[in-house]
Amino acid sequence: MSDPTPTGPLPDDEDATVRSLREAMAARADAANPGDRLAQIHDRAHAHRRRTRAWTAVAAAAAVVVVGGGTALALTRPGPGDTVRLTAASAAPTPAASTTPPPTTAPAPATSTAVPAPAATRTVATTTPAPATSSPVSSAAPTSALPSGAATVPVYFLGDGTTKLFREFAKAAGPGDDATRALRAMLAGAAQDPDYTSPWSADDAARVTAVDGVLVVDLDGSAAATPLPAAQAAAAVQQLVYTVTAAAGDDLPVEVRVGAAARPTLFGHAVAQTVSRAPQADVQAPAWITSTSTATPGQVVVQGVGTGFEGTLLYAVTDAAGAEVARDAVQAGSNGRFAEFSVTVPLPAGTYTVAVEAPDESGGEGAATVADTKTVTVR
Amino acid sequence: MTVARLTIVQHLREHVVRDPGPAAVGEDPHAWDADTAVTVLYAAHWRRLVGLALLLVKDRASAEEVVQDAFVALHRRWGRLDDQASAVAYLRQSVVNGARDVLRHREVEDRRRPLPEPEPEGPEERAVRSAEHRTVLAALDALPTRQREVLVLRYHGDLSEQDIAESLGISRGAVKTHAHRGLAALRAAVQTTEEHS
Repeated sequence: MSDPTPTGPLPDDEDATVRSLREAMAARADAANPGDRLAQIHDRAHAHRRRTRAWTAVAAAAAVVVVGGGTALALTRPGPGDTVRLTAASAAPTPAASTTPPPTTAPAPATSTAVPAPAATRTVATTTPAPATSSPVSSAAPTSALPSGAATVPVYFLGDGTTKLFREFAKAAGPGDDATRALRAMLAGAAQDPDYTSPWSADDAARVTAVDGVLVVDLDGSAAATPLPAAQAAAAVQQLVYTVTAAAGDDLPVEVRVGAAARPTLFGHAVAQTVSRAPQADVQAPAWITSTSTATPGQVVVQGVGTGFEGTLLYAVTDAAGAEVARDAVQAGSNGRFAEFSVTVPLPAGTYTVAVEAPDESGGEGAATVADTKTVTVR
Repeated sequence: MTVARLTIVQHLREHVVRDPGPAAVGEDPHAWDADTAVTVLYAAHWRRLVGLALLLVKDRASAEEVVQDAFVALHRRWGRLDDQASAVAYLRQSVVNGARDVLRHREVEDRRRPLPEPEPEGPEERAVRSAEHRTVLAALDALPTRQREVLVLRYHGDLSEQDIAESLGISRGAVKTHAHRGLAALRAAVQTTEEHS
């Protein structure tokens, strides 16, 4: 830290790091969905003594079930003996900074994983109620423009030896909207993680168009010519569907056409007119490592998304010689619900392999567990 | 003992002096009693302050606790505050102080405390949107406390350098130094992650 630190004016939104930091902090603050504590505040304020030190309270807070969406009710709770009419205050419970969703688009949540939107703070894009399937159809215009210009696009791959999906973000160059770029990157199949594979073949002319609420994917037959077992063919189709819907930012049904003909044969199996995202729990690998950071010397921060029995995933770190140096549980989502996890592992400098997986709860009778592994170099 | 009694006496004095009892709530904060003030300010600022606290302490349970403490303290203090603007500043200052206490305690107490509960809305769709965010936030979380405080107050709280300096009890020069160092670390972290993933 002996290098000189500039002391000029602090940068603002002209600085990409500042912009990114602002958006990220707003997103985290906005996702807080704090529980309602007005009653507790009044109770404590009226207990005429300092009965709790902060620390016992913090410990107790771990047991408090945090319920989102209670804020609206809280607004109408009067103080003891008061008839409280909230005037301007009730109109703006959130700051301007966190009422704006991040500008990047995101797919609508699949219905199987739908979460309640935070009360009154988000604009919901869909205008029609989702049907009771996993293929909500939004009321799109007959032909609509797809998002474009993203620095990186989501691309899905299959894990080596499994039919489960993993996701990467690719700096897919080339023309076209984000969905088309993602589709071509997926077909080209060059995953950054050497454990990820793809049965598709490259097709630089493949493209995605949004027509009447359907994402139409035009392919050359050579992209999916090799016959595969049915389960693998289905997984490959989901790989495509996940990729184009994620990049298009909308969970629309996908229609695959080969040589302009609908209902093509892909990998030796007929494909339905349209295919929607299958439930995450059915097709997505139970644990993804979505980022590793070794910016701070002496540690690695591993972040990801996953689901496991009782929310438990396992991580293990092995050194360059293959010896396990760390192993522990980490909490993610449960019951088929995916949630983020983050773990910081202190390590001496060196190169390691980090693996995260859902533990096998079937006593060895189920399918082999699917781990996600990344190589990291700790400074 | 003497100290504790004095605090209670003080508290009662403030309360009796300033508590006009139930009253209609108007636009004028001067007319509010402590209960009304807390209720109105809670409605307007609870969520935002929990967001601020969350960025400082990193886990929700502690964040809510810190802000709850701030409101309880405000209730006690209400008689001495001039207007709503100073009440909001008081709440913010309480949150910054409370967050610092949490972090200090955490450092001493237990470096391997259980991980905070993951956010309830975290399926893959959200990850699609927020992968870059999480890289930045992980780097933010890894910063020394001072640097993180300065960045959070400057770029989330939108406080001026002067306000940050007063809030943290440091010089404006130190605010700039911490901010520049913090931003440099974030830049490096984003680059490192891009190389590795």
